[in-house]
Parts: sequence; structure tokens; C-alpha cells
Amino acid sequence: MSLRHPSSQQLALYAGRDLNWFDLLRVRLHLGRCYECRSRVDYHEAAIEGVQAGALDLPEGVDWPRLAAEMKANIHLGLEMSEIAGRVPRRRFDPSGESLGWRVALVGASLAVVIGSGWYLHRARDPYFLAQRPMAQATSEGIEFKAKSSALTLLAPASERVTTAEIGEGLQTRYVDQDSGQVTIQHVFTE
Amino acid sequence: MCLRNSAFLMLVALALPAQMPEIPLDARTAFRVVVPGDSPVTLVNGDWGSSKATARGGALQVDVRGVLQLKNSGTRRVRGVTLFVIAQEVTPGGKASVTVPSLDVEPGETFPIRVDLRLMRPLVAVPGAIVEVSIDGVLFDDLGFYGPNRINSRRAMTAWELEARRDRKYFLAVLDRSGPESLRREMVSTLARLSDQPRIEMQTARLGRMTNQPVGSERQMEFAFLQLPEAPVDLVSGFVRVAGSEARMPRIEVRNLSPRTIRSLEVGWLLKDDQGKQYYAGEMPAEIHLAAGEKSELVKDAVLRFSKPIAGLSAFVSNVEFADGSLWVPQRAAVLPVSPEEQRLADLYRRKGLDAVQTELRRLR
Repeated sequence: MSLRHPSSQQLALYAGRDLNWFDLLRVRLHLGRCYECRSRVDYHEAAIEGVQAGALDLPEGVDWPRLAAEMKANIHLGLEMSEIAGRVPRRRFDPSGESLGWRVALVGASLAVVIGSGWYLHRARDPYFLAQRPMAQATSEGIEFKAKSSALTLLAPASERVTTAEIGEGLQTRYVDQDSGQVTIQHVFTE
Repeated sequence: MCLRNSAFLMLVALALPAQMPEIPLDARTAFRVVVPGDSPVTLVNGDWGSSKATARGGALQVDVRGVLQLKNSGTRRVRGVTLFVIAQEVTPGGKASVTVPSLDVEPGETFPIRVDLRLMRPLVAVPGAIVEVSIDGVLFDDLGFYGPNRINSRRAMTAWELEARRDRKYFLAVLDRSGPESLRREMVSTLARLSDQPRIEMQTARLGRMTNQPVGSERQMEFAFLQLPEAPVDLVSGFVRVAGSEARMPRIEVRNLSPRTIRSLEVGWLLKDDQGKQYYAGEMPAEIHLAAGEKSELVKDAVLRFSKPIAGLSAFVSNVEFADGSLWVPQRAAVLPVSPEEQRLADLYRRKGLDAVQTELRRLR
């Protein structure tokens, strides 16, 4: 098990499917073993979904012409900066060159490896497509019912001895409340 | 799409430190506690003091920190209470329960129940109560029950109460027969067993209409059965489909050995990882009509994913409910998981010492 967790940025980029293929595979491997990071990714995905849901509406009072003018100015600034930086000498692309064939083959093979690995890892991690179902999961914070981008988590104190078990339709945790000395049993249901 | 996602995430990340939009919660409307007029347990006070809602990017996070002060307004001693927690408006399908077994509340006495939970959903305004808490069941010292029993809390609390009586009787016998040092050894042994039972991470979901065909690399794994003395049910055979650290659709054939009709039963299961370590994984309850001598098959339509690879599985009869409402629980055995009462007493020993445990055992004799 990988003990090193991906950074928050990497998890956020993973949620947006914006990681490069190497990091994507590395994070996906880690997520297969780390429930905590998977929960974080879920929260990022919920955030994306929420923002996307509200993205069709412009915020109230937005000064659209001014925003457009600023964006245009930024684009011009970027172009001018690249002019100042000077032209980078480039090798001409010759589509009729002899070396094109093996390059295309190499790119194709690499893509096939990436796609194949991604498919295999996805299958290996989630053969029952748990992530797509309403489910209950035990995390370091407690037990959670999760459906799409919503979640209900019953929190258990981190410092206590907590036992978790799958009972009936859901999960159950048990701990002794240190204030009252009472055994407390929590249950989340998957339906 | 990827660029759009990145832009959204960046906007969210930039917006957070500037706004940190904590949304005020009005405890009078955000939380509702439903206690029927005829309930033997009444609400004295609901403290939702440090509860808060926070916008996190495009999601709304609601942290509920509640302590309900309840009063035994009836005439019998209360042994357990189950609260039903529903957040249907916020998390569709989200329901939960909080149970406090092993109580001993006299009539007129008050007692607290803590409800700590977190809700997460897309940032959309929700009318009405965010969380509704109601009483699902109250168990009394004569094993009488009050409540709607929507989540079958009657059977669960009765089984825990019977286990609690069994365990207290055992510890008292140890104390009377062999003295305080032997009781101390029992408490230390229980604490060790609890320590050996790490917080195993798991996920579970219903499979629904998934086919019965093997998936990917899964294989069939037979259950090993623990034979418990005087069990009214025989576990005849059983298997589960296993793929790495995931198990789905456990099936167990059972036979009623008793002369009475059974209306429900629970089969507990223990998981062995590739290091040979055994974990209590869960229970498989089943509503079943099983006449004397009859056989039936229990099938659970669920998939379970553990954080450890599954190398072996064993099962045992955890409790049996007969048609007349009486319940059977197994005798104490080292192979069985630590009961809630055992856990409570061991924790009492850890915090307050052996004298406190002796006093508690004699008080609840």
C-alpha cells in the first residue's frame, strides 16, 4: 500500500480528469487503496458538478463588457510577451519524411498501453462499479452513505476504539462516548 | 471539458479563501426532533450549538453537532434507545440511526444522546429541516418495547440486552469465584481483543439487478462455520464470490434444529486476511419463516469491499428470533466478537479502574 498521499492539487486535477497520464495512473492506483483520498476526490467531483450546475447562470451584477475587455487585454498581453521572448527555432514537420511511420506506430502503441492500463486498472479497482452505486463506506471520520454528489456521514471520535461492521443494509460503527461512558452504535443504510 | 473542469476548480479554489461562506443555521428550523405524545422518552432539550453550514466550492457541507437530553417519562427502567436520523431533503435516500444500548435509566431520570453527523450536497437551497431525528425504539428492563420499529431496532436492542446480561453474569461469576485479579485479567483481555480489531475500512452497496455470472477474476469461496453450543440453527453450507478484497452475494443454507418456528435470524461473518488475521466483518440478517426441521437459503444482494485481501471467511449464528418473539443469543465464546456491554465495561475499567467495574456489575446484578 502506498503510504504517500497525492497532494490536494493532484486530487483536484484527478477529479477534473486533467492529470497527465502517468499521474492519473498513479493517483488511480492510490485511490484503489485509500478511502480517505477517494472521499476527497468525491468532494471535488461534487464541487465540479455544483459549479457546472450553476455555470449556466451569470452571477448577478456582472459587468460583462468590462470583463470581456479585460480578457481581451490579457490575451493581447500574452501575445506581446511571446513576441518579446522571441521565436524559438522549430524543426519543420515533413509529412512525407521516412521517419513518420515508426513515430506514428510509437504514438499509437503508447496510446494503446495507456488506454489498456487505464481500462485494466479501472476494472481491477472496481469490478462491480461500486463508485456508481449508492453505497455506504467506512472512512477515518466515521461511516458514510454516498449517492452521486451527496453524502451523509455519521461522525465517530477519531481517538476512540471504533469497530465497524457491515450489518444488513449498510454499515455500523460502535464506540464508547467518553463524555457519557455510553456505548454508541451508529448505522447508515444503503436503502 | 477538461479545460472547463480545470477552470471551474481554479475559480472554486480562488473563491474559497476570499469568501469562506459560512451559512448561518437556525436551529429551530434546521433540525427537527419528533417525539410522539405517548412516548415514554421525552425531549428535555436539544443542543445544536456548534452546528454550522459551509459552502465548499460548489457543495454545501453541513456539520451537525447535537446533544439531545432525553427523559425517561415512563414507569419502567430504560435499557436502550434508538434514534432514527433522516436527511432525505439534503441527501436523497440518506437515513441513519444512533443507538445507545446498555443503559440503565430510572423513571424521571434524564440522559444524553449525541448526534454528530455531516451532510454534503451540491449548493442548492433546501426548504424545511435539514435533519429530522425521531425515536425508532425504546427497550425496557423487562424487554418490553415501544416505538415504530421502522429499522428493526427491537430485535437489535433485545439481542444486545441479552448479550449484556450474559456478559455481566459471566464477569460476576469470575469475580465471585476467582476474585478481583481474575476480573482484571478479563478486562485486560477484552481491551487486547479490541485493540486487535483495527478499524477496517469497507464499502458496501446493493447489487440490484446484477447477473449471477462471475465478474472478472472472482472465484467462489466456501464459508467455514463456527459450531456454537445449543445453536437452534445449523449452518449447512455457504459460499461467496470473491475478487481480491471484494466479496459479493453471500449465500448460506440454514436448517432449523429447534422445535419452534423461526421468524428471523442473523449470521455473523469473520474475514481472514492474507496474513492470517481475523476481523469481524459484519452480520447478515434475514427475515425468514422457518418451521421446525426446515431448510432455507439466505442470500444477500450486496457487494462488500474491504481494505484487506480476503483469504478466508467464517460464519456463525449470531442470534435467532422465534415466532413467539423470544430471542436466542449464543453463549460467550472467545471466537465471537466483543459485545457492546463488554466494550463498555472494558472502557470503564480503562478510565476508572477495577472498583468501578465491580460496582457496576453488582449494581446491575
